[in-house]
Amino acid sequence: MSHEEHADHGHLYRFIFGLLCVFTAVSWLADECKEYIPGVWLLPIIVLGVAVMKALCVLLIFMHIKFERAWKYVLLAPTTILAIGLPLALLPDVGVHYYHMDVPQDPISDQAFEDLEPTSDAGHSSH
Amino acid sequence: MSHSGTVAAQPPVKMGLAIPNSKLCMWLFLGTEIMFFTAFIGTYLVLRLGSPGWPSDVADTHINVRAGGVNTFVLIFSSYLVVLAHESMLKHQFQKAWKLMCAVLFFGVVFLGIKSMEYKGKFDHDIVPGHIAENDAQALQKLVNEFSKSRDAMTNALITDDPKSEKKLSPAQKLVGLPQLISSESDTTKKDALKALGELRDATAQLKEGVRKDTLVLHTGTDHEVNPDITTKLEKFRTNEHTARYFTAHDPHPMVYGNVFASVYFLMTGFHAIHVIVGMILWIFPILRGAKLDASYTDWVENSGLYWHFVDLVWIFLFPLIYIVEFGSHAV
Amino acid sequence: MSAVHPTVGLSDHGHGHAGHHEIGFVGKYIFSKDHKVIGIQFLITTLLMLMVGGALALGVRFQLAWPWRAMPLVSQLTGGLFAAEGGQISPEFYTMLFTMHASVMIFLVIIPILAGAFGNFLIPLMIGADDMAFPTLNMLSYWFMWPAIACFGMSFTVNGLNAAPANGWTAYPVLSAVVQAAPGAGDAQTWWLFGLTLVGVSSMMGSVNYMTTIINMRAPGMTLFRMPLTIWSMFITAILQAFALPVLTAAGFMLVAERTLGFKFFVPGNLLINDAPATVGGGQPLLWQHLFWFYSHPAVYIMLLPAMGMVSDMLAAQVRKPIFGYKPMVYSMAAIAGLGFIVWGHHMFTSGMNPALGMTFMISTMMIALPSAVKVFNWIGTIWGGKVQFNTVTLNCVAFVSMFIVGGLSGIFMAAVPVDIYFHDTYFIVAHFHYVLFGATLFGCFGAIQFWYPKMFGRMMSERLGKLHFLLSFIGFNGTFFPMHLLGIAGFPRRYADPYIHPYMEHLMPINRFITLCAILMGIAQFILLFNFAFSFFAGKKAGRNPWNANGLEWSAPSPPGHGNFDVPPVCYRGPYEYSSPLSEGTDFLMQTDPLRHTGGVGNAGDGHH
Repeated sequence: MSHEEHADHGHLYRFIFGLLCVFTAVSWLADECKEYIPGVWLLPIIVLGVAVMKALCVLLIFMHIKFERAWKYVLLAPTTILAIGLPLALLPDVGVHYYHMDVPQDPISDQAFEDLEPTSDAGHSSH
Repeated sequence: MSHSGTVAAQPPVKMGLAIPNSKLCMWLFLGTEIMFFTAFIGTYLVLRLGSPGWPSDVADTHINVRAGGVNTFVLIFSSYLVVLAHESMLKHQFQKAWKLMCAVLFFGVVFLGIKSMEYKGKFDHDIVPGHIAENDAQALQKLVNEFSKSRDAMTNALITDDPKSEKKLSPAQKLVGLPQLISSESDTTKKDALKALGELRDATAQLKEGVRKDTLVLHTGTDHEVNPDITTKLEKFRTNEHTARYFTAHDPHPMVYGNVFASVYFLMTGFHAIHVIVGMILWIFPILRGAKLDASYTDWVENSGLYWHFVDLVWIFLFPLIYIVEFGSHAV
Repeated sequence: MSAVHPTVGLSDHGHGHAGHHEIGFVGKYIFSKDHKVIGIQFLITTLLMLMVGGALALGVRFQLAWPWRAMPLVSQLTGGLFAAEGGQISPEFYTMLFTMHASVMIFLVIIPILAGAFGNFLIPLMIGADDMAFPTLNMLSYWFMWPAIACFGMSFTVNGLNAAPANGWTAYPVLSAVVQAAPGAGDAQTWWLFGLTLVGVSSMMGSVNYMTTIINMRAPGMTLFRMPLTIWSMFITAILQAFALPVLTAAGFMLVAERTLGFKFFVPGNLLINDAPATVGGGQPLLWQHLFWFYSHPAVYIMLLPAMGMVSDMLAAQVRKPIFGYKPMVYSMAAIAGLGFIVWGHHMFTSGMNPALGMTFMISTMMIALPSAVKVFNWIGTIWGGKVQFNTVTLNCVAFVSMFIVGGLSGIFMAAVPVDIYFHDTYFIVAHFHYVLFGATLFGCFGAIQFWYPKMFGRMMSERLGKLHFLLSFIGFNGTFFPMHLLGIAGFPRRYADPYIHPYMEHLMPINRFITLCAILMGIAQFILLFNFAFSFFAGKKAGRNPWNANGLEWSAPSPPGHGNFDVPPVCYRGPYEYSSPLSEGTDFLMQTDPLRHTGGVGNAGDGHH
């Protein structure tokens, strides 16, 4: 960004700031009326979509990516791909639990109470 | 043809990008930071989606959406101020930039203040990784432990060791002669306190007995309310003027996956808070220049600004992910 | 660019004891901000750590050859080190030995010798810069190594000498997460994780610095496609580090929090290990494996790519031919790096990971063979018909290429899910990664030490000692690791202190004894390298600026270069591989700084050979 360009951005920054406030209000509103939002996935889609919009505003305008030269693509493309790819690659393993909640609790827990008697030598430590 | 030292001086040609090294380095560093938080967010998604019954009810999690929303606004506003500060630096309005940076620092403090209030709320309800009971049995065990701990603390405070004895007595040993101690005590306040200790001791023993014999249940009735026996006991010792100081038991509140929930909550918000602190340290350097702030700090302000925006960016994603999103209790 | 240094000439005094007096001894040699000194510091540190890691490996080898026998000499000398009766290696100690062998070799030898030592020394010299973009950051990246070494050292001693981390360098939970799981999994494992984090911080500081330097500090005329392949490989390695390492750092923080603060990420619910309390809703152990390998598979290429780049430069200079296919070399390195990010799951085929992921990772892993093969054929094409100089550098480079072929081919075996299920955790995999990491990377480094030593210290290393070292290392190496393929096919498992308790493995003991003898030979051979390194510093033949008649910018600087590197700010006129060019009169090389015949970029590089 050359030095002549930067003079006129005051309005843009103010507009983006307003936009960010509106977006924050939208996600807060979505949370307030979450009972009325049908389905499981609509609320996440709304609020995460809003978050992506906000992130784009900050990235493009506040962080000047919009005004930078082509190097921004070289930097941001691999970052974006990896940042999206890693969680996506983790997702197929979601829910792999080897141990389930219906397995009975351990017998050691009972012993933990043995030395809690106030009259005996109660050198226990809670937790 | 060997190397000759007589190469004619060439006009300096700048290879590479037309941005300062420091800015390039900051952007590359932000790339690494993005991957750092990606790992956390990926962890969060995997653990959350893979844990049926993840706590999302505010009554369980004590997540404060308002605090999170206000903090979002605080960070966005400070980001806006950062942009203005950088503009002022470019226009050589250094005093304006200085004031704006002070304001950014102030909002950083506000953010951390709100964050610490949220943390305090979590600590008050003992929503701390490794502390959360995940089923009724664990909740009762925890309750007993907390009762015992309060009783021991009170015992140690009220009944001092025998000065003649070399050996430190355990709280249980101190309690052995409690009835005689009460009857021989002349100071009425102390006498009442000892009586209260006796009640606490009895209540602890009752609970322990109930857990051991498996007669104590956490929830009664069809509406799944906490056993009134337990709630009365808790209420009694919390309000009693003598025991209140020592009584640290929390309402029993089993939460499946509560520990994992608290872990990712503190992990993500904690590392974000550390980044806010680092960003604030970056602002302190130009602020300390005071009236001597000059154009040599323009790059510094721009790079710190990039970092600050990044911290804002992370929060923009953490806010919906932690505070708002619900995937339903049995999502995949 | 700093001014011409008046006293810098062709002599060796730059790093000798004559010293310049404007910066004190500490500033010049200890807390130096000069990339050359930092590079040499890294090199010496890693060579010392190489001996430590090698000693640990010999302990492992001894146990496998003569199980439960007291180690001669060592057990008497170290006394209390071996808790088991009569100074023999206890099973716990055995697991600690291989864990720490891998940790030391990977985090304190291979990664820092490539990126830290050669990256630091070569990047500014080869691109014609006077120093790194951020010298202080560079200094810090070296001095974060020592806390890391101290942390790894602490993990040996904090719980007594018999309780180092004992769950392999991969630190898989639950063994690494539950304190009660193993004798070394107490504070020792936490210290180990701190060490890992510090190495990560060091690499991180190095990598952003390298990227900035390579992008922004190149000499005039040094366009991207006139950069030596060493620089390309360092650049790509830095990118890999920058994007992969934060994930491991994050995972490391999670594991530390899980171990010390009661956080829950990786330990599954209702798991009972010794007397640790059980939780109900737990974390996911596979998560660690994913995050760990998301770093550690690209790390395999971090441990290989710089050696590939250096070997390309050395080979071209030693066979007096332009590198065959410069741009394909660059693109294939980039492809290896890109693919390297999406193959991590092939370490987890038997972990219970989703089978759909297994298939995906199998295909992407197979695809990595393509750019690797491109590189191998290009090296062979470079050697083909060249004027091969029979010296230590060439020998090590050829060893690099051939050992990489063996290691690469055995890798393809394990890329296939069904084959891997059989080979997983056998000695076949041990053979595979030692062929790549030792056979390729370390032989490349041996060559690089020999090749750039004159630039570092102004003296040549002894050729005779170098060849002897190469010969013994090469024989010892193949004798050690080739039979491991056979062991692996026979089902010999890794990480067992005594596999012979299974009768079907008893007949493998003679092979193991042979392997151990070869390993001892290989270990002894490394003392020749150390001796050569130290001896040549004082008694080596003095080297001029360009002892190898090579083309790179670094050879136009004095040997050793003074502060600021170049007498005159260098200007680059062509690519680095103009060997045997018809344009060069009387010589067979055209330096990048030579302005006399303006031949343009690398496009002409291929025209020169007859």
